[in-house]
Parts: sequence; C-alpha cells; structure tokens
Amino acid sequence: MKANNTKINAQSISRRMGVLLAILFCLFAAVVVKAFKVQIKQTRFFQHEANKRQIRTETIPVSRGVIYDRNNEPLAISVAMESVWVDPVRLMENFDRIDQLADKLDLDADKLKALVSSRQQRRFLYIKRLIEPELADEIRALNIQGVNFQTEFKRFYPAGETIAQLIGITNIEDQGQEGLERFFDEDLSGEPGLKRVVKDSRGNVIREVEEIRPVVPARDLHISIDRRLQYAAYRSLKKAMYRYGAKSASAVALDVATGEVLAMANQPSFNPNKRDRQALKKGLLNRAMMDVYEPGSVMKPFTMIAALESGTYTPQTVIDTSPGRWEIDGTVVNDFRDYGPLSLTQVLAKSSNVGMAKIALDLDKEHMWDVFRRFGFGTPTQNLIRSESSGYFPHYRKWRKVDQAALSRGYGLSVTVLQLAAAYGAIANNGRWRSPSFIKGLIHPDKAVLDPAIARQVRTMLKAVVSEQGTGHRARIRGYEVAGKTGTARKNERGQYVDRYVATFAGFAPADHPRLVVVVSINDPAGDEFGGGQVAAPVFAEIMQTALRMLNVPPDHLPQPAKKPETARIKMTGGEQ
Amino acid sequence: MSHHTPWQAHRAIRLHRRFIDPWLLLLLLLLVSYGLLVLYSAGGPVLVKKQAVRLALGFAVMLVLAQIRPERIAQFTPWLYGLTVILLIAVLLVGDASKGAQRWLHIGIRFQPSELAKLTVPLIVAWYLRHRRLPPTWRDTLVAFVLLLVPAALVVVEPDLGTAILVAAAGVFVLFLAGLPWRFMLASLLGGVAAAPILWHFLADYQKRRVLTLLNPESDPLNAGWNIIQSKIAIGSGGLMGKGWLQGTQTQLDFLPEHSTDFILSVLAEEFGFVGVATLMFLYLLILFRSFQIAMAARDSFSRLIAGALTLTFFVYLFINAGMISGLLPVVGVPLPLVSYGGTSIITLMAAFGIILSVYNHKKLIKQ
Repeated sequence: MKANNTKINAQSISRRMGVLLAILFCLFAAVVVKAFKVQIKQTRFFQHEANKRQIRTETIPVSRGVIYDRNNEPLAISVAMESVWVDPVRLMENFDRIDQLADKLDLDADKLKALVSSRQQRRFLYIKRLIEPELADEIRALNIQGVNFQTEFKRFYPAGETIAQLIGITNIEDQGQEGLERFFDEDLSGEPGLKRVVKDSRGNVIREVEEIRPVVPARDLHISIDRRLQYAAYRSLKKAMYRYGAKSASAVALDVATGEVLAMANQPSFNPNKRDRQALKKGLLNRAMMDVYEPGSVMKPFTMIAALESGTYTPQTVIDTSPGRWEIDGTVVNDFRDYGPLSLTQVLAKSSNVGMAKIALDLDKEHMWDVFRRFGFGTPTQNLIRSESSGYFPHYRKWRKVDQAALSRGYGLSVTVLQLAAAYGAIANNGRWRSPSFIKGLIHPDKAVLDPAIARQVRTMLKAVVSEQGTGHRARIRGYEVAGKTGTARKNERGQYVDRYVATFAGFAPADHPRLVVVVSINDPAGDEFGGGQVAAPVFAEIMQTALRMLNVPPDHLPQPAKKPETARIKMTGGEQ
Repeated sequence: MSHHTPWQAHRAIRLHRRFIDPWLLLLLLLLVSYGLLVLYSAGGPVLVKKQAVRLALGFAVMLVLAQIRPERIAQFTPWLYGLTVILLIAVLLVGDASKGAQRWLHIGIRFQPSELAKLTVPLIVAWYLRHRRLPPTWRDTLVAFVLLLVPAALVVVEPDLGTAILVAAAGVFVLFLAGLPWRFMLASLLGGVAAAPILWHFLADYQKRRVLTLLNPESDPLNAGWNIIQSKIAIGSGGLMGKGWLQGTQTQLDFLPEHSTDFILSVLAEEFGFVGVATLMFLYLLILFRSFQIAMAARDSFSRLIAGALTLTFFVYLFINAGMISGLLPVVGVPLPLVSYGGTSIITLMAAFGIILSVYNHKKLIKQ
C-alpha cells in the first residue's frame, strides 16, 4: 500500500515538475528576449541617456586680475577658495549628519536643518561661501552625501583700509562693485572657459573630456598709486581726523609732470577684507573725487591769474584793504584784521578777502569765468570714470556783483579735491592742465591753459603764502621750497553760513621746479583750530615731506638752523615783487 | 552488493556519501565566480573578500548538509520550524531596524530569520505531506496552508512583503508539486486578484509608491523612479558586448543605486552586455535542469517535494530580481541568487543546494 502510494506520488510529482520546467523555460526565454529588446534594439537611445547624465558642460573658472601699485606691490588679489553647497534632496537622507557639517562650518545646526528642510525640493543650496581650502578638505573627508564644493575666488586687499575707496570692492560673485574694481571690471574679469566633463551622480568631476572654449585670462591692472605714499597720506589724514575731531577728510597727491595720481586717501575708511555694514556705509565714498564742497580761499590764485592776464595788474600792484571791511550791495566782506595797503602777493599771503573782492570786481566776468573753466572747475577731471562729480560752477551771465566777489574767494561754487589738485597741477606744470591718471604710465594729453610766465609769477606768489608771514606757514618743509594756498571755508547749512568750516591746503613742491601736487581737505574740525593754515597745512607738510624723500627729490637747500634763512628768503621774495 | 564483505560495503557507502554531484558543483562554482567578478566591479575588493568568505562558509554548509540523509532532515524539520517561528517573533521584539523595517537579529552575527523561513516553510509542508496520499485532501491542504502562513504572516508584520511572498510561495510550491488541483490554484489566483485592492490598503506608503513607480517610473524621476530609470539606462547602454569590465559608467559614476546588492544584474548587463546576460541565464538554466533532474530521481515523496520546491524558490528569486531590474515588477528588495552581495541569503541558498545534493546522494544508495 505504502509503496504503491509512493509510486503514484512519484509519478504525479514528476508530471507537475515537467509542467513547471516548461513554465520556467518560458520565463528564461522572456528574460533573454527582454534583454535583447533593451540591449540590442535600444542601445543608441540608452547610451544617449547615459551620456546625458554623465557628461556635463562645466565652466572653467578664471581668476580675477591683480591690481598692482606702481612698484608692483599687490593692492587687490584673488585667492581660490571653496564654497559649500548642498543638494537638499540627498542631504535629507543623511539628516543626522547635518550636525557634523554645521560644527565644521561653525553654523547653528538647528538653523541649518531648518534651512535644508525648507528647501528640500531643491537640488542646489549654498551653505557657506568662500571657506579655506583646508577646511573644505576636512569636510570632504566626512564624506556626507549631498554636500558639494565649488571653487570660487575671494578678493584680498593687502593694503586694507589705506586705499579702500579708490580700489573699491567686488561682490561675492567676484564682480566689481565700486572704485577701480568697478571701472575696470571688464579688464579685470576675463572670461571663464567651458569644458566637457564626466561627472558622477554626486556631481564630482571624474574626468575631463575636452575643452570647448578656452579661458580668456583676466588682465592685471597696474595703477599709478604708490603704496608707500598712499600709506603716508592715509596715516597723516587719520591722525588729523582724530586730532581735530573732523567729520571727514581727503588727500590727493599728483605727479606734476605726468598727472598720475600717486595717492588718494579718504577718511573715514573701511576694511575691505572684513566688511562691516556700518563702516562700509560711512567709508565707501571716495570723497576726493565724489564729494563736492565750497573750497574757500584756495580759489584765490585763480582769481589772481585772471587779474594778471587782464594786464592791469602785476604781483606788485598795491590794493588798499582798509578798513578791513567792504560792503557790496548790502553784503559785507571782512578781513581778519585791517591790513592796510597790500600788494597782490600780500593779498594772497594774508588771504585778504577785501583785497580779493576789490580786484575781482575790477575784472571782466566772462574772463574770470573763462579762467576758472580752463582750470577745470565745473567739469569732471576724468572722462573714464562716470561717478566722479563735476562740481557746481554757475555761468557768468548769472553772476551779480556779490556773486563775482564771492567766487573770487571760493564761495558760490563747489569743487572736488581732485579738481583742485589738477588745477594746482596746471600752475605747477607751467600752465599745462592734464587730466589726472590712475593708470601707471598712462599720461593724458595736456592742454595749455595759462601763459608759462604768469604761471611762474603765481608760483612765486604762492611761495609767499607759505612764508613766515603767510597763512600757510605750517606747510613749510625743511630743505624744500613749498608753494600753496590755504582755504578756510564756512559751511553752508540750508542756505545759512554757519560757524563750521572746511579746511583746505593745496600746494606743490619744490616751488620752483614742482614735482608733486598735494591737496588736503579736512571737513568740519571740531576744536578751536579749524583754519586751512592750522589744520590742513601740517597734514600737507607731512605728506609732501614723505613724498619728496621717497621720490628722492633733491632739496632746494641743505637744511640749516631753520628760522633765519627762511626769513631772509621771504624778504628776498618780497623784493622780487 | 552480495560479493562485498561488510567492511568493503561500509567503505563504499562512505565514498558515496562523500560524493557530490560534480555537475551541480561545477555549475555553482562557475556561477559564484562570475558573480564575484561582477561584484568586484560594483563594490570593489573589500566586498569581494567579504563575499568570498560567506561563499566559502556557504559551500561548507552545503557539503555538510549533503551528507545528511533526507530522513534525518525530515526528523529535524519540526524543530527547525519551531525555531524559525521563535526567531521571527524575537526579531519583532528585539530586532534591528534598517530602512524602516525590523529584519535583523544580533546573535553573534547579524542575521535575518526571514531568510531561514524560506528554507523551513517548504520543509515543514513537505514533512507534513510525506506519508499522506497525494494529491492532498482538502483537510491536508488547509493544515499545510496554516503551517506556511504563520511564518509568512510574521514576516509581513516586519514589514517585508517581498520576502513574505517568497516564504509563502516556497510552501505553495510544495503543495503544487504534491498535486494541488489546478482548479484550486486557479481559484486562489482569481481570489488574489480580487483581494488586491484590499491588500493595497495594508501596504505601507513606500510599498504603494514602489508599485505606482513601476507603472510609470518617469512620473517621479528624482525619487522612487530613479532606481528603475538608472537601471534601465545601465542595461540598455550596455549593448551587445557591454562597456567592458570596470567600464560601466552608470555603475562607476554611482548613478546606479544599490549596485552591489539588488541591482547587480544591471551592472552585469552594462559591463558585459547582452552576451553577459545570456551567459548568466544559460548558467542558471543548466542549474535548473540539473536540480530538477535530481528531484525527479529522488527516492521518496519528501525528497522529491523538497528538492523540487527548493529549486523553484531559487528560480523565483531569479525571476523576481530580473523582473524588478527590467521594470516588470516593483522594487521589492530580492537579491540575484548567489550573485548579489549579502550574507544570510547566500548561506540559505547554499543550504538549499545542500539539501538538493543530499537528495541526490541518497538516491543512489537506495538503488543498491
């Protein structure tokens, strides 16, 4: 019975197995047919699909050009850094590891988690930009899926806040935002190339296939600034700011022969390497080029030029300034005290307002306007840099008598420090005006704005300003002859002149063969000292002295016990008149 | 046998017992070597080393089991079944969670009791039916179903629907081989189709998503559809001869997910092309033929049923994996037998072949 049973069973099981074998054979056939369909018939399509996923076009980053000073010292350089970005879709799968990531990056883990969660449908999210490559390597070693890196360049400014406004800044995308970084952005940027690469699913580049478009390398910029002189100007300016409690200050130094800007410093400044929103707001403005103000007496030499050109005046012509006040159409012009009769040279040296007004009202309006225009007032000094201010200078047809008298001593118009520097540069350069240049070796064509003989006369007059008796005596430098003019302009607030001032000193040295022009402007000194001769002239002297020494300019005379020879010289100058 | 002395007879028996079917052994060695080659490309030398250790262990288990007579295996079956049920309950209570399911048990090593169930379920059904008249009566069928559904249900709860289906299927195969009427099978098939919407409610979200993704992988290409699309691209871009060993871009660039475990067939298809796939299938086909041959030559119902059912289970693995890779079935996490990287599955499969070889060995003895 049992054996029989087993036999029946055996037969039945074998039959079933036969059926199964047939079914399984069909399944094998089905797998092979399916493989055939996909692998043989659709190979092209799927190979294309595979390439589409793996072969990507990538940009080849290009490093921004370096900005060098005239001695090839770097002022702005780009350093390769890494930016961390994540793929939230992938990172959400490793949610716990966000803690490690946040720890390395010094970020708040909960905030980061919230950020990633809120963007979990996205595939790209910057977590932290521009970190050190070493830190990036450490994070790479954590091997967290969904965390990726991208090479980006960070801009460093070795000279820091000493030249922050002129150099300007770039944004996080490495595009110039302000200053020279912006003006020369196209040159400095270059053009990134394109290449085809094989990438893995995490976005890492495995292999480079070919270059599609080569990199157009960025051009470096060699600017006219001398970093050492710039530093000297910055230091003197900053010291003066604190000492006199001023609101702001600017200084410009030009090379007389070429018009190259050797220094351009502004206060307050900011550190472009560590940007603080508050400091940036206060310090970003390049005041020397963009801030306009009523310059005051530093304009007097240009009125003198008009007088000398008119033919009715010589430096020796005497004007009676008594009693030290003069009324023009109801407006009173005051001198510091009653100077009595003064030569034109003395009018300038004492900065007599009465004398100046008397001369001005004797001059032709159109001629005086023309002289000011020739020296560049009312127009920007650059045609390249758009954001420069032109200043305000009214047309002579609008001048009333009062206006003409005011203009003669620097009221009723506004100028920039750079305009002043260029104008004084023309006096120093034998009457040839040149647009100041910011690029090393780039010399703009000059134009004759003044008879060289008159230029020489004015230089001599300006030397007297820096004499012992002149208002600018604090601008004197041992060993060198200095020429210049002080300016103490009252500030105008809502149409009212108030007891607050802008102190300016503009001048050049050596007086007879000028090499450098320096203009210093100090806005709103808070203390008892506020005059151009008191506040701005010493700063001028500091900067000029450093500059002359740096440029190895031979002294006019060997330094001797200072006082007596200086006095004698002034007398001699007076004798010349 | 009569001309042998007892001593000589004893020696002959021992030789026979050590004897292993050389064909099946050769085919299995070829298959695992092929598998290691692909695994090297998919996972590197470290995985290959680990896998080789497991395979060696698996072969040892196989060789030991091959020496045990099927009767002894039948004797141990109820105990083994009891142990399996206990372990499955234990895993629910103290198991390790991984990817949303509790499947792992730590007893010295990490171990998946549900893999063991794939062996013990067909064993217990074959054990139950071994002395009964075939085809089984309704009553016997009912008892057999209860026996196979208890472990299957415990696996569903983990939850691991894919493995549960395999576990249940292994038991059903025994019943089928035992002669379960066709009309019954047809009825249960129809019942299954009718129950599908109800079953749908019990699926976890991720399971529902997998089924939906299967119907239209492009609908969600970034998440659930990703695996299937990347797998299809890997297979299709392999072409006739493949991209070459270690040259599969989808694999090497990490686009293909789970490429050393569930999706290893895609790696093979990408790197060795259609020729590689066909070769693999041919190897499997030969193993199938040989195993069935052994099952058919078995000396009793138990041996026959168990050898047949275990062979079937092995091939269900294969077809579910192949179907999943090519997008015909949902992604259920079934490895490619003896090729995918993974510990418990290899030991279980080798144990199954050990039992099949035991059936082979002991068939010869009865003839003598």
